[in-house]
Amino acid sequence: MAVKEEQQFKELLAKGTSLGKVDQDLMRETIKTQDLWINMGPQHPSTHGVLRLILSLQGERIVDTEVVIGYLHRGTEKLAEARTYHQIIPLTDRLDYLASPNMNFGYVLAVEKLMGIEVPERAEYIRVLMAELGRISSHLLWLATHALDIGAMTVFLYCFREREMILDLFEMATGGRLTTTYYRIGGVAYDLPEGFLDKVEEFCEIFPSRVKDYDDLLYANRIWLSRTVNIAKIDAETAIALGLSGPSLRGSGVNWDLRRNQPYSVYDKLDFEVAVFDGCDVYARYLVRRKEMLESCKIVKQCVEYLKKTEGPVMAKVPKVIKPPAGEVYMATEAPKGELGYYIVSDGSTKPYRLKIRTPSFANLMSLPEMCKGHLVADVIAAIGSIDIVLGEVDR
Amino acid sequence: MVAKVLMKDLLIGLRRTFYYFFTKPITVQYPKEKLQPFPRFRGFIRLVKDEEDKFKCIACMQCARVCPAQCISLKGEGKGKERHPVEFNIDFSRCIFCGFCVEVCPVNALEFTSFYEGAQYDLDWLKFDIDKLTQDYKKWERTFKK
Repeated sequence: MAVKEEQQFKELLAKGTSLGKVDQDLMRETIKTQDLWINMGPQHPSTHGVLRLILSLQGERIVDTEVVIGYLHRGTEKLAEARTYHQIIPLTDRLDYLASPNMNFGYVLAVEKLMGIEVPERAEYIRVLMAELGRISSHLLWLATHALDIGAMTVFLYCFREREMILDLFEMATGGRLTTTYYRIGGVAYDLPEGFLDKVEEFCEIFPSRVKDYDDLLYANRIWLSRTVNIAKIDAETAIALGLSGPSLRGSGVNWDLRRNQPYSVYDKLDFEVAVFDGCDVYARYLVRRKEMLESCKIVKQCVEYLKKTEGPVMAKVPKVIKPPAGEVYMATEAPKGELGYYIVSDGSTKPYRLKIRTPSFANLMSLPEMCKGHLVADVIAAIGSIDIVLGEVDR
Repeated sequence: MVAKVLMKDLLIGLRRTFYYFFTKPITVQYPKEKLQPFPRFRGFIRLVKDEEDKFKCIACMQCARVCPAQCISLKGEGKGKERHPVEFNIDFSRCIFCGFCVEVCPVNALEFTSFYEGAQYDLDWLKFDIDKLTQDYKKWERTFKK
Protein backbone atom coordinates (compact mmCIF):
# COMPACT_ATOMS: atom_id res chain seq x y z
CA MET A 1 0.00 0.00 0.00
CA ALA A 2 2.56 2.47 1.15
CA VAL A 3 4.95 1.51 -1.62
CA LYS A 4 2.24 2.07 -4.18
CA GLU A 5 1.49 5.52 -2.80
CA GLU A 6 5.10 6.45 -2.93
CA GLN A 7 5.30 5.40 -6.55
CA GLN A 8 2.23 7.41 -7.45
CA PHE A 9 3.73 10.38 -5.71
CA LYS A 10 6.95 9.96 -7.68
CA GLU A 11 5.03 9.74 -10.92
CA LEU A 12 3.19 12.91 -10.09
CA LEU A 13 6.44 14.59 -9.28
CA ALA A 14 7.93 13.48 -12.56
CA LYS A 15 4.95 14.85 -14.46
CA GLY A 16 4.83 18.05 -12.46
CA THR A 17 5.37 21.13 -14.52
CA SER A 18 4.73 23.76 -11.92
CA LEU A 19 7.79 22.78 -9.98
CA GLY A 20 11.19 23.77 -11.16
CA LYS A 21 13.98 21.24 -11.60
CA VAL A 22 15.75 22.34 -8.45
CA ASP A 23 12.58 22.17 -6.36
CA GLN A 24 11.86 18.68 -7.59
CA ASP A 25 15.28 17.44 -6.55
CA LEU A 26 14.89 19.09 -3.18
CA MET A 27 11.54 17.41 -2.61
CA ARG A 28 12.88 14.00 -3.56
CA GLU A 29 15.56 14.38 -0.95
CA THR A 30 13.46 15.74 1.86
CA ILE A 31 10.10 14.00 1.59
CA LYS A 32 9.89 10.46 2.79
CA THR A 33 7.14 8.31 4.35
CA GLN A 34 7.27 7.56 8.02
CA ASP A 35 5.22 5.42 10.43
CA LEU A 36 2.70 7.33 12.47
CA TRP A 37 2.58 6.58 16.16
CA ILE A 38 -0.77 6.66 17.84
CA ASN A 39 -1.55 6.13 21.47
CA MET A 40 -4.73 4.21 22.26
CA GLY A 41 -5.86 4.01 25.85
CA PRO A 42 -5.31 3.55 28.75
CA GLN A 43 -8.70 5.20 29.21
CA HIS A 44 -10.25 4.23 25.93
CA PRO A 45 -13.74 2.82 26.44
CA SER A 46 -13.22 -0.14 24.11
CA THR A 47 -9.98 -1.37 25.63
CA HIS A 48 -12.03 -3.08 28.34
CA GLY A 49 -10.27 -1.48 31.23
CA VAL A 50 -6.92 0.20 31.40
CA LEU A 51 -5.02 -1.24 28.49
CA ARG A 52 -2.69 0.99 26.53
CA LEU A 53 -1.73 0.28 22.96
CA ILE A 54 0.90 2.06 20.95
CA LEU A 55 -0.10 1.64 17.32
CA SER A 56 2.30 2.39 14.56
CA LEU A 57 0.46 3.16 11.36
CA GLN A 58 1.13 3.60 7.71
CA GLY A 59 -1.83 5.59 6.57
CA GLU A 60 -4.75 3.70 8.06
CA ARG A 61 -2.99 0.32 8.15
CA ILE A 62 -1.38 -1.06 11.26
CA VAL A 63 2.25 -2.02 11.01
CA ASP A 64 2.96 -2.83 14.61
CA THR A 65 1.20 -2.81 17.95
CA GLU A 66 2.89 -2.48 21.27
CA VAL A 67 0.90 -3.52 24.30
CA VAL A 68 1.53 -1.61 27.51
CA ILE A 69 0.10 -3.18 30.64
CA GLY A 70 0.39 -2.69 34.36
CA TYR A 71 -2.12 0.07 35.03
CA LEU A 72 -4.21 -2.22 37.25
CA HIS A 73 -1.36 -3.97 39.00
CA ARG A 74 -2.27 -4.79 42.57
CA GLY A 75 0.48 -7.25 43.41
CA THR A 76 -1.80 -10.22 44.00
CA GLU A 77 1.02 -12.75 43.82
CA LYS A 78 3.13 -10.89 46.37
CA LEU A 79 0.11 -10.22 48.61
CA ALA A 80 -0.60 -13.94 48.61
CA GLU A 81 2.76 -14.64 50.24
CA ALA A 82 1.62 -12.69 53.28
CA ARG A 83 -1.80 -14.34 53.55
CA THR A 84 -2.84 -17.72 54.84
CA TYR A 85 -4.12 -20.26 52.32
CA HIS A 86 -7.68 -19.48 53.26
CA GLN A 87 -7.26 -15.72 52.97
CA ILE A 88 -6.08 -15.97 49.37
CA ILE A 89 -9.53 -17.05 48.15
CA PRO A 90 -10.96 -13.48 48.14
CA LEU A 91 -7.83 -12.31 46.31
CA THR A 92 -8.48 -14.77 43.50
CA ASP A 93 -12.02 -13.43 43.19
CA ARG A 94 -10.57 -10.16 42.07
CA LEU A 95 -8.46 -11.53 39.23
CA ASP A 96 -11.20 -12.05 36.71
CA TYR A 97 -14.02 -10.26 38.44
CA LEU A 98 -16.48 -11.26 35.73
CA ALA A 99 -16.24 -14.95 36.51
CA SER A 100 -15.11 -15.14 40.12
CA PRO A 101 -16.35 -18.72 40.75
CA ASN A 102 -13.98 -20.01 38.07
CA MET A 103 -11.08 -18.13 39.61
CA ASN A 104 -11.80 -19.62 43.06
CA PHE A 105 -12.19 -23.04 41.50
CA GLY A 106 -8.67 -23.23 40.13
CA TYR A 107 -7.12 -22.07 43.38
CA VAL A 108 -8.98 -24.43 45.71
CA LEU A 109 -8.29 -27.34 43.37
CA ALA A 110 -4.58 -26.53 43.45
CA VAL A 111 -4.48 -26.46 47.27
CA GLU A 112 -6.54 -29.65 47.46
CA LYS A 113 -4.16 -31.35 45.05
CA LEU A 114 -1.25 -30.27 47.23
CA MET A 115 -2.87 -31.55 50.41
CA GLY A 116 -4.55 -34.58 48.89
CA ILE A 117 -8.05 -33.73 50.05
CA GLU A 118 -11.01 -35.72 48.76
CA VAL A 119 -13.99 -33.45 48.19
CA PRO A 120 -17.57 -34.76 48.62
CA GLU A 121 -19.25 -35.36 45.29
CA ARG A 122 -22.14 -33.04 46.02
CA ALA A 123 -19.70 -30.20 46.64
CA GLU A 124 -18.00 -30.96 43.33
CA TYR A 125 -21.29 -30.75 41.48
CA ILE A 126 -22.16 -27.46 43.18
CA ARG A 127 -18.76 -26.12 42.19
CA VAL A 128 -19.18 -27.14 38.58
CA LEU A 129 -22.68 -25.67 38.53
CA MET A 130 -21.38 -22.33 39.82
CA ALA A 131 -18.38 -22.35 37.50
CA GLU A 132 -20.54 -22.96 34.45
CA LEU A 133 -22.93 -20.20 35.47
CA GLY A 134 -19.87 -18.00 35.83
CA ARG A 135 -18.79 -19.01 32.34
CA ILE A 136 -22.17 -18.08 30.88
CA SER A 137 -22.16 -14.75 32.67
CA SER A 138 -18.62 -14.00 31.50
CA HIS A 139 -19.44 -14.86 27.89
CA LEU A 140 -22.62 -12.80 28.07
CA LEU A 141 -20.69 -9.77 29.21
CA TRP A 142 -18.15 -10.44 26.50
CA LEU A 143 -20.83 -10.61 23.80
CA ALA A 144 -22.49 -7.47 25.15
CA THR A 145 -19.38 -5.32 25.20
CA HIS A 146 -17.88 -6.77 22.05
CA ALA A 147 -21.05 -6.02 20.09
CA LEU A 148 -21.19 -2.59 21.67
CA ASP A 149 -17.63 -1.84 20.59
CA ILE A 150 -18.42 -2.86 17.05
CA GLY A 151 -21.61 -0.84 17.03
CA ALA A 152 -24.54 -3.13 17.86
CA MET A 153 -26.01 -1.45 20.89
CA THR A 154 -29.16 -3.54 21.25
CA VAL A 155 -27.35 -6.79 22.03
CA PHE A 156 -25.67 -5.09 24.95
CA LEU A 157 -28.99 -4.48 26.67
CA TYR A 158 -30.33 -7.97 26.04
CA CYS A 159 -27.17 -9.66 27.29
CA PHE A 160 -27.13 -7.64 30.48
CA ARG A 161 -30.70 -8.66 31.17
CA GLU A 162 -29.67 -12.34 31.24
CA ARG A 163 -26.46 -11.61 33.09
CA GLU A 164 -28.55 -9.94 35.76
CA MET A 165 -30.46 -13.20 36.19
CA ILE A 166 -27.22 -15.08 36.81
CA LEU A 167 -25.96 -12.44 39.22
CA ASP A 168 -29.22 -12.78 41.13
CA LEU A 169 -28.61 -16.53 41.33
CA PHE A 170 -25.12 -15.86 42.66
CA GLU A 171 -26.49 -13.46 45.23
CA MET A 172 -29.06 -15.99 46.33
CA ALA A 173 -26.58 -18.82 46.83
CA THR A 174 -23.40 -17.07 47.86
CA GLY A 175 -24.30 -13.61 49.11
CA GLY A 176 -22.09 -11.78 46.65
CA ARG A 177 -23.00 -10.68 43.18
CA LEU A 178 -19.60 -10.17 41.63
CA THR A 179 -17.01 -11.39 44.13
CA THR A 180 -18.73 -14.53 45.29
CA THR A 181 -16.04 -16.09 47.56
CA TYR A 182 -18.12 -19.26 47.64
CA TYR A 183 -15.50 -21.96 47.27
CA ARG A 184 -13.51 -23.22 50.22
CA ILE A 185 -10.57 -25.55 50.46
CA GLY A 186 -12.36 -28.89 50.77
CA GLY A 187 -15.77 -27.92 49.45
CA VAL A 188 -18.04 -24.92 49.33
CA ALA A 189 -18.94 -22.47 52.07
CA TYR A 190 -22.56 -23.53 52.55
CA ASP A 191 -25.17 -25.68 50.84
CA LEU A 192 -27.47 -24.21 48.23
CA PRO A 193 -30.51 -22.37 49.57
CA GLU A 194 -34.02 -23.66 49.10
CA GLY A 195 -35.58 -22.90 45.76
CA PHE A 196 -32.24 -22.18 44.16
CA LEU A 197 -32.22 -25.22 41.89
CA ASP A 198 -35.71 -24.44 40.61
CA LYS A 199 -34.56 -20.95 39.73
CA VAL A 200 -31.53 -22.33 37.90
CA GLU A 201 -33.77 -24.71 35.98
CA GLU A 202 -36.01 -21.81 35.06
CA PHE A 203 -33.00 -19.92 33.77
CA CYS A 204 -31.82 -22.92 31.75
CA GLU A 205 -35.18 -23.14 30.06
CA ILE A 206 -35.32 -19.46 29.15
CA PHE A 207 -31.71 -19.09 28.12
CA PRO A 208 -31.59 -20.90 24.73
CA SER A 209 -34.49 -18.77 23.49
CA ARG A 210 -32.59 -15.69 24.60
CA VAL A 211 -29.55 -16.83 22.65
CA LYS A 212 -31.87 -16.84 19.66
CA ASP A 213 -32.54 -13.16 20.34
CA TYR A 214 -28.83 -12.41 20.00
CA ASP A 215 -28.64 -14.59 16.89
CA ASP A 216 -31.40 -12.60 15.26
CA LEU A 217 -29.39 -9.46 15.76
CA LEU A 218 -25.91 -10.75 14.97
CA TYR A 219 -25.60 -14.21 13.45
CA ALA A 220 -26.36 -13.32 9.82
CA ASN A 221 -26.35 -9.56 10.13
CA ARG A 222 -24.38 -8.13 7.23
CA ILE A 223 -22.81 -5.32 9.25
CA TRP A 224 -21.69 -7.78 11.91
CA LEU A 225 -20.32 -10.11 9.25
CA SER A 226 -18.37 -7.41 7.45
CA ARG A 227 -16.86 -6.25 10.72
CA THR A 228 -15.86 -9.73 11.91
CA VAL A 229 -15.28 -12.17 9.05
CA ASN A 230 -11.63 -12.36 7.98
CA ILE A 231 -10.63 -9.85 10.61
CA ALA A 232 -7.75 -10.46 13.02
CA LYS A 233 -6.86 -13.84 11.58
CA ILE A 234 -4.51 -16.09 13.44
CA ASP A 235 -3.78 -19.61 12.23
CA ALA A 236 -3.60 -22.62 14.51
CA GLU A 237 0.18 -22.93 14.47
CA THR A 238 0.82 -19.30 15.41
CA ALA A 239 -1.92 -19.47 18.01
CA ILE A 240 -0.31 -22.44 19.74
CA ALA A 241 3.13 -20.87 19.46
CA LEU A 242 1.88 -17.68 21.13
CA GLY A 243 0.27 -19.65 23.95
CA LEU A 244 -3.31 -18.78 23.16
CA SER A 245 -5.86 -20.79 25.07
CA GLY A 246 -9.57 -21.08 25.63
CA PRO A 247 -12.19 -19.92 23.14
CA SER A 248 -9.61 -17.84 21.24
CA LEU A 249 -7.62 -20.99 20.51
CA ARG A 250 -10.68 -23.06 19.65
CA GLY A 251 -11.69 -20.34 17.21
CA SER A 252 -8.54 -21.25 15.28
CA GLY A 253 -9.66 -24.85 14.92
CA VAL A 254 -7.60 -26.40 17.71
CA ASN A 255 -9.63 -28.94 19.60
CA TRP A 256 -8.28 -28.29 23.09
CA ASP A 257 -10.39 -27.93 26.18
CA LEU A 258 -8.97 -28.72 29.61
CA ARG A 259 -12.38 -29.80 30.84
CA ARG A 260 -12.19 -32.71 28.43
CA ASN A 261 -8.47 -33.17 27.78
CA GLN A 262 -7.39 -33.06 31.42
CA PRO A 263 -10.64 -33.61 33.27
CA TYR A 264 -10.72 -32.18 36.76
CA SER A 265 -13.50 -32.22 39.33
CA VAL A 266 -16.49 -34.13 37.87
CA TYR A 267 -16.24 -32.96 34.28
CA ASP A 268 -15.50 -36.51 33.08
CA LYS A 269 -18.96 -37.57 34.25
CA LEU A 270 -20.74 -34.82 32.39
CA ASP A 271 -21.80 -34.87 28.80
CA PHE A 272 -20.90 -31.83 26.75
CA GLU A 273 -19.43 -30.89 23.43
CA VAL A 274 -16.36 -28.78 22.92
CA ALA A 275 -17.05 -25.89 20.59
CA VAL A 276 -14.46 -25.73 17.83
CA PHE A 277 -14.61 -23.58 14.70
CA ASP A 278 -11.82 -23.15 12.22
CA GLY A 279 -12.48 -19.72 10.80
CA CYS A 280 -9.45 -18.33 12.68
CA ASP A 281 -11.12 -14.89 12.68
CA VAL A 282 -13.21 -12.76 15.02
CA TYR A 283 -16.41 -14.36 13.75
CA ALA A 284 -15.16 -17.87 14.57
CA ARG A 285 -14.35 -16.79 18.10
CA TYR A 286 -17.85 -15.38 18.37
CA LEU A 287 -19.28 -18.72 17.22
CA VAL A 288 -17.18 -20.63 19.74
CA ARG A 289 -18.35 -18.53 22.66
CA ARG A 290 -21.92 -18.59 21.45
CA LYS A 291 -21.91 -22.38 21.35
CA GLU A 292 -20.07 -22.60 24.66
CA MET A 293 -22.84 -20.69 26.37
CA LEU A 294 -25.35 -23.26 25.19
CA GLU A 295 -23.07 -26.16 26.15
CA SER A 296 -22.55 -24.66 29.62
CA CYS A 297 -26.31 -24.42 29.91
CA LYS A 298 -26.43 -28.16 29.19
CA ILE A 299 -23.85 -28.89 31.89
CA VAL A 300 -25.79 -26.77 34.38
CA LYS A 301 -28.91 -28.80 33.62
CA GLN A 302 -27.09 -32.06 34.32
CA CYS A 303 -25.72 -30.69 37.59
CA VAL A 304 -29.19 -29.58 38.69
CA GLU A 305 -30.50 -33.04 37.90
CA TYR A 306 -27.84 -34.63 40.08
CA LEU A 307 -28.16 -32.14 42.93
CA LYS A 308 -31.92 -32.52 43.12
CA LYS A 309 -31.59 -36.25 43.64
CA THR A 310 -28.83 -36.31 46.22
CA GLU A 311 -28.08 -34.87 49.58
CA GLY A 312 -24.98 -34.92 51.63
CA PRO A 313 -22.11 -32.91 53.03
CA VAL A 314 -20.65 -30.06 51.02
CA MET A 315 -17.42 -29.82 52.98
CA ALA A 316 -14.67 -32.38 53.44
CA LYS A 317 -12.94 -32.87 56.75
CA VAL A 318 -10.26 -30.22 56.60
CA PRO A 319 -8.02 -29.15 59.48
CA LYS A 320 -8.82 -25.70 60.81
CA VAL A 321 -5.34 -24.41 60.15
CA ILE A 322 -4.38 -25.30 56.60
CA LYS A 323 -0.76 -26.40 56.49
CA PRO A 324 0.07 -28.22 53.28
CA PRO A 325 3.20 -30.35 53.15
CA ALA A 326 6.29 -28.81 51.60
CA GLY A 327 6.28 -29.19 47.86
CA GLU A 328 4.94 -27.64 44.75
CA VAL A 329 1.91 -28.11 42.57
CA TYR A 330 0.49 -26.81 39.32
CA MET A 331 -3.21 -27.02 38.61
CA ALA A 332 -4.66 -25.84 35.33
CA THR A 333 -8.37 -25.31 34.81
CA GLU A 334 -10.45 -24.06 31.95
CA ALA A 335 -11.59 -20.56 32.90
CA PRO A 336 -13.96 -18.70 30.55
CA LYS A 337 -11.02 -16.88 29.01
CA GLY A 338 -8.67 -19.83 28.69
CA GLU A 339 -6.23 -21.85 30.71
CA LEU A 340 -6.00 -20.65 34.29
CA GLY A 341 -3.12 -22.17 36.19
CA TYR A 342 -2.07 -21.84 39.81
CA TYR A 343 1.45 -22.79 40.73
CA ILE A 344 1.96 -23.04 44.46
CA VAL A 345 5.26 -23.56 46.21
CA SER A 346 4.76 -24.55 49.81
CA ASP A 347 7.42 -24.61 52.50
CA GLY A 348 5.18 -26.37 54.98
CA SER A 349 4.02 -23.24 56.78
CA THR A 350 0.53 -21.68 56.84
CA LYS A 351 1.41 -19.28 54.06
CA PRO A 352 2.53 -20.15 50.56
CA TYR A 353 6.16 -19.51 49.77
CA ARG A 354 5.23 -18.46 46.26
CA LEU A 355 2.03 -18.32 44.27
CA LYS A 356 2.31 -17.93 40.53
CA ILE A 357 -0.86 -17.37 38.61
CA ARG A 358 -0.94 -18.18 34.92
CA THR A 359 -3.85 -16.08 33.78
CA PRO A 360 -5.39 -16.66 30.37
CA SER A 361 -5.91 -13.02 29.40
CA PHE A 362 -2.26 -12.17 29.90
CA ALA A 363 -1.10 -14.87 27.50
CA ASN A 364 -3.91 -14.22 25.05
CA LEU A 365 -3.14 -10.51 24.94
CA MET A 366 0.31 -11.20 23.50
CA SER A 367 -1.32 -12.42 20.28
CA LEU A 368 -2.82 -8.99 19.66
CA PRO A 369 0.12 -7.52 17.69
CA GLU A 370 0.05 -10.60 15.43
CA MET A 371 -3.69 -10.28 14.89
CA CYS A 372 -3.74 -6.59 14.12
CA LYS A 373 -0.97 -6.57 11.53
CA GLY A 374 -2.19 -5.10 8.25
CA HIS A 375 -5.65 -4.24 9.48
CA LEU A 376 -7.38 -0.89 9.90
CA VAL A 377 -7.50 0.99 13.18
CA ALA A 378 -11.17 0.16 13.66
CA ASP A 379 -10.33 -3.56 13.48
CA VAL A 380 -8.06 -3.29 16.49
CA ILE A 381 -11.17 -2.80 18.57
CA ALA A 382 -12.74 -5.92 17.10
CA ALA A 383 -9.50 -7.83 17.77
CA ILE A 384 -9.26 -6.70 21.40
CA GLY A 385 -12.87 -7.68 21.89
CA SER A 386 -12.43 -11.07 20.28
CA ILE A 387 -9.72 -12.29 22.66
CA ASP A 388 -11.85 -11.26 25.63
CA ILE A 389 -9.39 -9.73 28.07
CA VAL A 390 -10.04 -8.57 31.58
CA LEU A 391 -7.39 -6.23 32.85
CA GLY A 392 -7.76 -7.35 36.44
CA GLU A 393 -6.40 -10.64 35.25
CA VAL A 394 -3.74 -9.31 32.90
CA ASP A 395 -2.08 -7.10 35.48
CA ARG A 396 -2.98 -9.13 38.58
CA MET B 1 -28.91 -13.34 -3.41
CA VAL B 2 -32.62 -12.57 -3.22
CA ALA B 3 -32.40 -12.62 0.54
CA LYS B 4 -29.56 -10.15 0.34
CA VAL B 5 -31.45 -7.73 -1.86
CA LEU B 6 -34.49 -7.91 0.36
CA MET B 7 -32.25 -7.27 3.40
CA LYS B 8 -33.59 -10.35 5.14
CA ASP B 9 -30.79 -10.40 7.70
CA LEU B 10 -31.50 -6.86 8.84
CA LEU B 11 -35.25 -7.38 8.88
CA ILE B 12 -34.90 -10.38 11.22
CA GLY B 13 -33.07 -8.15 13.67
CA LEU B 14 -35.59 -5.37 13.31
CA ARG B 15 -38.41 -7.81 13.96
CA ARG B 16 -36.78 -8.73 17.25
CA THR B 17 -36.41 -5.11 18.34
CA PHE B 18 -39.97 -4.42 17.21
CA TYR B 19 -41.17 -7.28 19.40
CA TYR B 20 -39.44 -5.84 22.45
CA PHE B 21 -40.91 -2.46 21.61
CA PHE B 22 -44.21 -3.71 22.99
CA THR B 23 -42.95 -5.53 26.08
CA LYS B 24 -42.71 -3.97 29.51
CA PRO B 25 -39.36 -2.51 30.57
CA ILE B 26 -37.48 -4.56 33.14
CA THR B 27 -35.51 -1.60 34.47
CA VAL B 28 -35.65 -0.85 38.18
CA GLN B 29 -35.61 2.90 38.76
CA TYR B 30 -33.05 3.16 41.55
CA PRO B 31 -33.26 5.01 43.95
CA LYS B 32 -37.01 5.46 43.49
CA GLU B 33 -37.47 1.71 43.55
CA LYS B 34 -35.18 -0.75 45.25
CA LEU B 35 -34.79 -4.48 45.07
CA GLN B 36 -34.79 -6.41 48.31
CA PRO B 37 -31.52 -8.35 48.55
CA PHE B 38 -31.64 -12.09 49.20
CA PRO B 39 -31.28 -13.28 52.82
CA ARG B 40 -27.69 -14.38 52.27
CA PHE B 41 -26.67 -11.01 50.87
CA ARG B 42 -23.38 -9.82 52.29
CA GLY B 43 -23.97 -6.21 53.23
CA PHE B 44 -22.55 -4.20 56.10
CA ILE B 45 -21.72 -6.19 59.21
CA ARG B 46 -23.45 -5.67 62.55
CA LEU B 47 -22.59 -6.65 66.11
CA VAL B 48 -25.39 -8.61 67.71
CA LYS B 49 -26.66 -8.16 71.24
CA ASP B 50 -28.68 -10.78 73.09
CA GLU B 51 -32.03 -10.28 74.87
CA GLU B 52 -30.38 -8.84 77.98
CA ASP B 53 -28.72 -6.15 75.91
CA LYS B 54 -25.32 -7.74 76.33
CA PHE B 55 -22.81 -8.41 73.60
CA LYS B 56 -22.79 -11.94 72.29
CA CYS B 57 -19.16 -11.39 71.35
CA ILE B 58 -16.62 -13.09 73.60
CA ALA B 59 -13.63 -11.23 72.16
CA CYS B 60 -11.86 -14.37 70.98
CA MET B 61 -10.11 -12.41 68.21
CA GLN B 62 -10.83 -15.02 65.55
CA CYS B 63 -12.53 -12.52 63.25
CA ALA B 64 -9.58 -10.15 63.45
CA ARG B 65 -7.22 -12.99 62.64
CA VAL B 66 -9.16 -14.40 59.70
CA CYS B 67 -9.85 -11.06 58.00
CA PRO B 68 -7.90 -10.89 54.71
CA ALA B 69 -8.14 -7.10 54.61
CA GLN B 70 -7.16 -6.73 58.28
CA CYS B 71 -9.92 -4.23 58.93
CA ILE B 72 -11.15 -5.53 62.30
CA SER B 73 -9.54 -4.55 65.57
CA LEU B 74 -10.91 -5.27 69.01
CA LYS B 75 -10.06 -5.36 72.68
CA GLY B 76 -11.66 -7.66 75.21
CA GLU B 77 -12.04 -7.57 78.97
CA GLY B 78 -12.91 -10.08 81.67
CA LYS B 79 -12.26 -13.76 81.95
CA GLY B 80 -14.24 -16.90 81.17
CA LYS B 81 -17.93 -16.27 80.66
CA GLU B 82 -17.59 -12.62 81.59
CA ARG B 83 -15.38 -11.85 78.64
CA HIS B 84 -16.80 -9.13 76.42
CA PRO B 85 -15.45 -6.57 74.00
CA VAL B 86 -14.74 -3.02 75.11
CA GLU B 87 -13.47 -1.85 71.76
CA PHE B 88 -14.60 -3.18 68.41
CA ASN B 89 -13.72 -1.39 65.20
CA ILE B 90 -14.51 -2.38 61.65
CA ASP B 91 -13.10 -0.17 58.94
CA PHE B 92 -15.61 -0.52 56.13
CA SER B 93 -13.41 1.50 53.81
CA ARG B 94 -11.08 -1.51 53.84
CA CYS B 95 -13.63 -4.31 54.24
CA ILE B 96 -13.98 -6.54 51.16
CA PHE B 97 -17.22 -8.21 52.31
CA CYS B 98 -15.87 -11.74 52.00
CA GLY B 99 -17.84 -12.88 55.04
CA PHE B 100 -15.03 -14.82 56.70
CA CYS B 101 -15.53 -13.06 60.05
CA VAL B 102 -19.21 -13.96 60.16
CA GLU B 103 -18.40 -17.53 59.15
CA VAL B 104 -15.66 -18.03 61.71
CA CYS B 105 -17.47 -16.51 64.72
CA PRO B 106 -18.15 -19.30 67.24
CA VAL B 107 -21.07 -17.51 68.94
CA ASN B 108 -22.67 -15.81 65.91
CA ALA B 109 -21.96 -12.40 67.32
CA LEU B 110 -21.59 -10.86 63.88
CA GLU B 111 -24.30 -10.76 61.26
CA PHE B 112 -24.84 -9.37 57.80
CA THR B 113 -27.40 -6.67 57.17
CA SER B 114 -28.97 -5.86 53.83
CA PHE B 115 -27.50 -2.34 54.01
CA TYR B 116 -25.20 -1.68 51.09
CA GLU B 117 -25.21 2.05 50.40
CA GLY B 118 -21.74 2.70 51.66
CA ALA B 119 -20.81 5.47 49.23
CA GLN B 120 -20.11 8.40 51.49
CA TYR B 121 -18.54 11.84 51.29
CA ASP B 122 -16.80 11.38 54.61
CA LEU B 123 -14.26 8.59 54.94
CA ASP B 124 -14.47 8.60 58.73
CA TRP B 125 -18.14 7.71 58.50
CA LEU B 126 -17.11 4.26 57.32
CA LYS B 127 -14.93 3.61 60.36
CA PHE B 128 -17.44 1.93 62.62
CA ASP B 129 -16.78 1.71 66.36
CA ILE B 130 -18.59 -0.42 68.91
CA ASP B 131 -21.57 1.95 69.30
CA LYS B 132 -22.10 2.39 65.61
CA LEU B 133 -21.85 -1.34 64.96
CA THR B 134 -24.85 -2.09 67.16
CA GLN B 135 -27.17 0.51 65.68
CA ASP B 136 -30.03 -0.21 63.34
CA TYR B 137 -28.60 0.27 59.86
CA LYS B 138 -32.05 0.83 58.32
CA LYS B 139 -31.96 4.52 59.16
CA TRP B 140 -29.04 5.14 56.80
CA GLU B 141 -30.76 3.70 53.77
CA ARG B 142 -31.24 6.29 51.08
CA THR B 143 -34.77 7.31 50.37
CA PHE B 144 -35.94 9.29 47.43
CA LYS B 145 -39.01 11.45 47.76
CA LYS B 146 -41.18 11.24 44.71
